Amino acid sequence: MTDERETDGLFREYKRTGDVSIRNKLVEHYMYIAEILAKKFSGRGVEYDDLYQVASEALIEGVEKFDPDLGNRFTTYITPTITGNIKNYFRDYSRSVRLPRRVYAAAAKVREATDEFYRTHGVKPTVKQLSEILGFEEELIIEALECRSPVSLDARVSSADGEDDAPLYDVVSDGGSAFESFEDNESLKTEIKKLDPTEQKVISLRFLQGKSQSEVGKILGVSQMFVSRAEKRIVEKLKEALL
Amino acid sequence: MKELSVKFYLADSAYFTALRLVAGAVCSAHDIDVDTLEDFKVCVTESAIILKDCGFEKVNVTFSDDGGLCCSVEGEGGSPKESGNEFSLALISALVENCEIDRRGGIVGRVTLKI
Repeated sequence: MTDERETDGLFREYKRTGDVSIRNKLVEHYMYIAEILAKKFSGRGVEYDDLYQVASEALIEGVEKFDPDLGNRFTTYITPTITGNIKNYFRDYSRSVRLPRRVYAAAAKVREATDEFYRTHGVKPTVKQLSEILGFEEELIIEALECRSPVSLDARVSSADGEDDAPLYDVVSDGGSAFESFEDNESLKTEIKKLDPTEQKVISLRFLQGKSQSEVGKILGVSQMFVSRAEKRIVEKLKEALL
Repeated sequence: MKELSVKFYLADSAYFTALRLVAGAVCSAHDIDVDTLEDFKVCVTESAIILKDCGFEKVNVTFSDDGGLCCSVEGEGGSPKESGNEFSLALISALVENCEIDRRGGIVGRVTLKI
């Protein structure tokens, strides 16, 4: 594949058929761009292999979304996309916390105690209260709050009404269908309209367009953690208004 | 606590975690609940990132007690320029009780947070 017309033809065919073998052919053809960009950013505290993986994922996503009929060349389109993903990775990586093992062990207990306290008192505890409950030094609790442990998709989470719990995979957005029924709720629609434009944008991207917190963060130029906090605040506001 | 300051080079990303830990510790000293503490940490570090995006070289973060916990995040040095951070600023304003943004010639130079 050397000719641009040939690759554009393949992009059109892939768009029409969704044939993964065509996608893979295109990814292989443009893999050199991922390699170049990963090399460009290596040696800055993140392993080349990790950067190469991030770049490759961005390339695959780019191939899947590219439309040659919009008038851009693929190389022009994909270079800033991959660069952006690598930069976001640096941003997230720089903020990822590498704390001692004992802190991670404490983190699980802190989370559990926080939830239990909230169930009992209806408010979140302070660090001092957690320290008294768990018998940990306050410093350890502050460090533990920095931990962001991965969660299993089988983990149980409470539903919005606080009654039944469900596996996480049941409540994670699946492309918007969950909120379509939500959208039918007139009172909810009214309350969403009362949110400021920023909050409405978060709601729209997260629930109507079904994007993950990381994706929303990338689109809006903020961290996943930031989206998470904002979303929590907005949902609380909506819940309060609807009660 | 009268005042506590943290100053570091924004290029050194390792200090963002240090800043979050300091912010958490200051909230703890003020008996602030863990939920508000998390919002505050995110806003403090996000303010520093905005200043980094604006081209500042260093950030000076000062926590003080002013009828509530107050935090001033101010950029220093570098070659400041305008940057599209309106969305981040809007989210910060939504997360903390009070947020003031000081601009110098259109460039965000300081973010003051209060809870």
